[in-house]
Amino acid sequence: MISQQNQRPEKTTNTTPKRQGLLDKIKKNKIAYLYVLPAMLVVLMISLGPILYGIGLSFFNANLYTMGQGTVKFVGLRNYFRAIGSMDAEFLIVLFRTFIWTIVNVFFHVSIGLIIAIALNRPKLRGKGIYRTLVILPWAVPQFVTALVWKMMYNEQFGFFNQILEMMGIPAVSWTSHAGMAFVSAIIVNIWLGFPFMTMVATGALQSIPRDYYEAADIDGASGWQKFKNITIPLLKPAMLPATILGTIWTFTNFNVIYLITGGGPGKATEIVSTYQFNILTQQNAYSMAATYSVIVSIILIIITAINMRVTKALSQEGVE
Amino acid sequence: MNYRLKEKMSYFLTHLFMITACLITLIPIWWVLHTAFDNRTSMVSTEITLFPKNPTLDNFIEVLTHPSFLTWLRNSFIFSAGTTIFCLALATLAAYAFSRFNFPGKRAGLVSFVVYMMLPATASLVPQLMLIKVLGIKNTYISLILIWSAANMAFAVWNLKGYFDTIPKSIEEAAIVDGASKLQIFTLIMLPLAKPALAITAIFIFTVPWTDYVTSYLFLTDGSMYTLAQGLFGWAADFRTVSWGVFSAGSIIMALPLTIIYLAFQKYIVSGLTVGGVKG
Repeated sequence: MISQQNQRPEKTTNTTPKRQGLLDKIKKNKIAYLYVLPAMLVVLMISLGPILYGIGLSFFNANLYTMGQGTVKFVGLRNYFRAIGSMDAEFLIVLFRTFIWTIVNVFFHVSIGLIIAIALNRPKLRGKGIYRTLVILPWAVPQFVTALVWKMMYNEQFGFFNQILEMMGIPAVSWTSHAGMAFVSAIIVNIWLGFPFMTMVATGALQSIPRDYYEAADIDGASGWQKFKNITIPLLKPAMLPATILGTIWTFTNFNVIYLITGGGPGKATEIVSTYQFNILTQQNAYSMAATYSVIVSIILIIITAINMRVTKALSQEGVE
Repeated sequence: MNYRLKEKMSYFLTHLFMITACLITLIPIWWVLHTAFDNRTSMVSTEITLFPKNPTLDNFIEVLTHPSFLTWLRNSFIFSAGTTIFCLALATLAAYAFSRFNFPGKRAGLVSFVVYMMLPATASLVPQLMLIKVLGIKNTYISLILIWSAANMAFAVWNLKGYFDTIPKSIEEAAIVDGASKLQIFTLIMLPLAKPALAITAIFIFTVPWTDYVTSYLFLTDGSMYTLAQGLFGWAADFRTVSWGVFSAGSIIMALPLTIIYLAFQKYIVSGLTVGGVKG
């Protein structure tokens, strides 16, 4: 106890800045700048510079053709109007599809992840360790590999799913060549990939809830639903909300699943923003348009993050009171 | 009695539910293992067995003697290891400075990393292509090591800074009393103490080049520089080039090391992701 009390005032004196000239401070910390410099330089030259250049590109009409001809010129906000205006409704459809993709996926990630975590948290369940390991496998295997494996399983002629259906005498399904079905197929893969992360986060949070809470609730005669609603959910929130924000961003920007399973096709029926941008860049070489889409997407992501942070903050303050 | 029966029943249902969930997660993994260890030459089969009828290592032997596969494996390893070493070295230095020095511009530097993470990273692809051309390092290891390092730097710095912050300052103060220099404190005290965080950050960085398809596709046009991700993508796009068995064996070789590491360090990785991710 005594040592703890002693430590506290010491800490506060440490953090109060001593009055010093700025130059002295810089001189005194010369070595710190030396440590930070290499990392800063790499980011600045290789990443930040190009990003800023790219944002700049979105105000020009650069593509393979104009760059070859030397006719690149400033076009102001024209690319942005083209992207969100009526001239290019395609992007708006892609954007709308990306929102559906994100909402459906995150909903299933969180709900399935939570249900499995709750099942795994039952006190007298045997074989927990084995179940846990098997259930998180989709998270542990690199996404790139599993997406390719799913693609082969979806193969119409020789894939696993149609083989099973054939054995059962059910006609084959066009998993990736029918517009609506292809989107569903990709969502199935992404749900499979994404729920284990939520299970892991929720398991960690559930384990930190004291069992006494539930026992006390039992004594008070609370029902299972009441316990879930009034004990489990509020105590899970601090861990699950950040994970959900993260999951939302990951899903919104996910490239591998759609690109590897459907390639954005058939036609452009399953294109989401990340694959759309990539295809615009690689197939049409429309550099400025691709940059414009990047800027729009990151503005959307910043808005999503800001809203989420606000909600999280509000909720965490609620918890303090 | 009635209560006990009810409880037994509910545990039975829980087991049933968990077994179903595990089956669903296992099917694709079982399928790829099955295909890799199967010696079937024809893809059409009328029966599905739990284990391959005639288990064989032929597919693994074929993939490991395939000249391009070995090149891809080597390239992927050089890219991933190179990026990990380079990025981690710079990030550790920066994170240490951010954690332990109180220098003017520190806050601005840290905040700039956060702002930078929100910028449209994909907008940088075309300018980066131009930059690589101007520097004359197209199709070289160093080009993508630089790009992947820059892309992971902010996350790595934040992650490591967070860990350095948790190491008590009293340890260094004792070392200063003993006459250790700043560099000695860093290399002999801080680095060994930060081993767990360094390991986890290294895993994160290593994974990116190992599994990234977009960057290598855009930047590498020379076939001898292709990575595993590019190679396997090509195999999957046209299964006439190699059999599914060989593809599956290749996938397993690509996935296994990371899978084992992720399973072994799962707890640290998840907390690293949520903490570092939200901070960033």
